[in-house]
Amino acid sequence: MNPESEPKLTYEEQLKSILVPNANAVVHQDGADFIDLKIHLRYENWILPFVRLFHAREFKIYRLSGLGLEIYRMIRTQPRSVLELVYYLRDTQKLSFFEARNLILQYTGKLIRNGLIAAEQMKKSE
Amino acid sequence: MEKMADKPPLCQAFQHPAFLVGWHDFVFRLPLGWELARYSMLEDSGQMFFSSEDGPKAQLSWRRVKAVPNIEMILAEINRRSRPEIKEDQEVPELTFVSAGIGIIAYAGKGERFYASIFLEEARLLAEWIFPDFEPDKLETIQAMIGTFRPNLPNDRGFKTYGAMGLELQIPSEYHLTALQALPAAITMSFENKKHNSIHAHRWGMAGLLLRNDSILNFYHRILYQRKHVIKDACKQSFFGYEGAEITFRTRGKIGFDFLLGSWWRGLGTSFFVPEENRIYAVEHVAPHLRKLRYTANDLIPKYGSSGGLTT
Repeated sequence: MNPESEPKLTYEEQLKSILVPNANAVVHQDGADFIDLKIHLRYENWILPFVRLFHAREFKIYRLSGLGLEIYRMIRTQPRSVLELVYYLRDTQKLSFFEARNLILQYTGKLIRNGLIAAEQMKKSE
Repeated sequence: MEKMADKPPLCQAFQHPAFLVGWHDFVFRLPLGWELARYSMLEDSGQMFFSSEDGPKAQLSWRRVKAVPNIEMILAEINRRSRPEIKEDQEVPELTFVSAGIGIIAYAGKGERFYASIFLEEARLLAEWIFPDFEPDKLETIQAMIGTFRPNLPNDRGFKTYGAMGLELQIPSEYHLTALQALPAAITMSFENKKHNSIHAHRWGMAGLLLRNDSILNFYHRILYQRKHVIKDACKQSFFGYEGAEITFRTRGKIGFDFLLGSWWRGLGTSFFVPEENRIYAVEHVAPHLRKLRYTANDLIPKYGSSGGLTT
């Protein structure tokens, strides 16, 4: 879908979005202070012959550590809303609400783009 | 005009250090939970937007005026123009005026937009506020906030008050605010005087993660080194009883080939870590080689109270 045609989320919808781990991102290596997540890459149909010809890589591994790992593990244990994570970061790091919100949105946005987690929107009636 | 009985200010709402706004010509304190969401750097006319967790809270705009304005008439006109559904021959709901400090608050009815206006005679500046959805219980908070609104005049030391997003500073009046870089949990305010001497003040959040069991001296040294400053001397120093660092450095170049050809300027950087807030504060003063460097965190950051929060 063209990004410009995607419906924009309102402020409340954004905070109420539920973050869930992507089932396709499998744990490759799980250490005490890091986790490696392996995700299979998808190529467009027209490019598949070239992928086979040049033996392009089929998967990508992302390593999470530190606070990012902590947030990912929270999402993996139980699906969380963005607001819950914002409160968590605000309280643990003594940040203001907007500082925590911006940091969480930046980080979870990056995880979503990399396909490690997904965001489910709450229905309007909820 | 209806004058409300003097009420004690909402002290609790103004104790947190994160909520002072000090700009070119005015200073005020925000209620608890409000944050500066958008701002303009212009001195003669500009806007600020404030939000809280619940959504937008207020809009402040300011402009220079030549004569003393009739605030009540201006507010009545704004009220009339904000109701396009009411025709010219129809009556507009009347505003009730309430004084708050040097300002006036005007409201019409529950759930409607309401306004406040303040004229700062010293700066010839008219500050106009717009708030959404009037509720009687909101009035006390707004009144307390407007009550703290005052002109940003130099104090007896000749220092003006600046602040935004938790950073609260006392800056010599010869320096002017030139930039505010607001990244999440990393605020930088920059000031410059006519001779291009500059002061940069920082407030970093998530200090525990930034320090990673390292000392504040090493952390601050790393920061200055990454900015391509030449470090001359570094030592541990305590500020307000907190662990800190004092670093002298040399730097040159602001524009283009100044980096290669410009003269070296001396800089003095001071930084300290406040564990109660989980924040690191830093101030850098850069001036020509011969100029005596004077300003450290002790001079520019107001003293800390016993609670660990800034007090003015």
